[in-house]
Amino acid sequence: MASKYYDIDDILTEEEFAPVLFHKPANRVTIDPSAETNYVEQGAKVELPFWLAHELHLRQAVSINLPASFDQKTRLEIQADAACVDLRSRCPYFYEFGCKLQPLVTDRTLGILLSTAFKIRYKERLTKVFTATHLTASKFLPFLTIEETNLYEAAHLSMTAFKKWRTGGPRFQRASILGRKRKES
Amino acid sequence: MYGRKGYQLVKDFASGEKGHLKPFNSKLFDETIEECDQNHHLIQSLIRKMQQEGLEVHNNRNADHYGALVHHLSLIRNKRCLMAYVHNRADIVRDLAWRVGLEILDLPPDIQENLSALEKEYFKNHSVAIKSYMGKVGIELNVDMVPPKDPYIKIRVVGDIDQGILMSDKTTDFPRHSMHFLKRTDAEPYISRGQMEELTETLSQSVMMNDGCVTVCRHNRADIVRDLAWRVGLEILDLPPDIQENLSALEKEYFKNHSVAIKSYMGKVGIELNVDMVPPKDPYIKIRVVGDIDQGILMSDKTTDFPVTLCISSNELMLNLTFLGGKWRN
Repeated sequence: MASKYYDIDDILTEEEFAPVLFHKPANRVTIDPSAETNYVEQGAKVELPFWLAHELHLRQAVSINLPASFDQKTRLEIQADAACVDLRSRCPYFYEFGCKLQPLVTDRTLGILLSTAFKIRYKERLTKVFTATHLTASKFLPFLTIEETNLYEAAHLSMTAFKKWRTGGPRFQRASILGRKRKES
Repeated sequence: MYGRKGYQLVKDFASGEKGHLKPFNSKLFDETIEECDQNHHLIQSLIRKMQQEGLEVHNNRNADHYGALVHHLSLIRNKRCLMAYVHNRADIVRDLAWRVGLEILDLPPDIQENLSALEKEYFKNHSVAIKSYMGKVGIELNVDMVPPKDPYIKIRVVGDIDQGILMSDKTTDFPRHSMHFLKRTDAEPYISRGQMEELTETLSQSVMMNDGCVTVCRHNRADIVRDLAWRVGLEILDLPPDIQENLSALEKEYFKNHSVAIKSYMGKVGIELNVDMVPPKDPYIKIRVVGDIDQGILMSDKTTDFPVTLCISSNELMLNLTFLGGKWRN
């Protein structure tokens, strides 16, 4: 886990909100928007970012419920046609967040949901990236989660590298780290 | 509160293109540190409150304890965001040193703007470390790892380079949009910085022997020059004059050196390697002269003149005339 400390994607994944139920009260804390004072009652239902919910769960102060991105509506949509579901608008880190939630939540079917959704989407969408033109590819790119987008980009990069090797492009390139070329006036 | 500023800082970093630096967001950085201070104050006041009530801080799990816990966790979270921001930027700075250049002034000015003062310091120290390491190892480590096919490369200057640059074998000026034929090792640092670009034009328009005979599908000029040596002839004067015009002085030099190398190799092997590989059915062939050949040529068994449209049979002639004759037919 030490290697994930600096990982930007991991930090952003843990920022996703999860609903919790407080078992213990907390003072001088203004997390609960429905409370008027800065006090969280025992038994209050609050949406907390995952990093906070996880730590409080470890200290048995809260219990975590499934967020809205993993509810029944999404499950039905995934069962119907997983390849077309717009997962990014529900939760951009769908798979990573689901993996983190899975040991903490009482729902046993979360793991199966994640793996079936990923398998179907990979088979239907990501394997087509090698033959898709830019036009068809750009239609479903906004639906992919961040993890899927990373896979897509990696495949795209290796495809262009292969084509370049075939045709024998220039070996030396302007260092990619320098950004896009701008036309100098 | 509760990790918001840290989150915004990390989001700012992630919103840039992958692997590129945005300007160092010192405003958000300072705001995150302020938020940490606020959390710290609240923790201290809650713990003081518990101590005033005479309760043991560690064992007693009352509301104050959990409040302090939440603030403590927010503080840790902000710390993590700050560390990740600086760490990932440092990764990119190190990458810049390896890929682009070891001098900070070599970096394009818009990237230099995006670095904070501390990051520039880090870049300098890292460059010094790299240089001393390369000095001890004895090899230049930040160049292209793949052995090239050809030591020379054609480049076009696209950026602004000072005049009178010292290359490894000559001093040249580099006006904008000029094209040069340089050694790979000289050109590489300029290409990484984006000041020159490699030209890989196909020569199919300029060096076309005959559409049927020789189709050029290579891209590098030196490849084609070597091809000429193998396929046409080993003497530069044997090449058709319009092809000789297309070669630069360096390329003619290269052709001569390559021919010498081929001749010595063929001498050592003991066979002529640049002739037709297929064993013929008949040692003699019938030819017609279509181009201008000098008079009094020495063949392997007689001396003859070759006026145009004369028909003779000989084995050696076949090779020269197939290619050259094809060219002059055009």
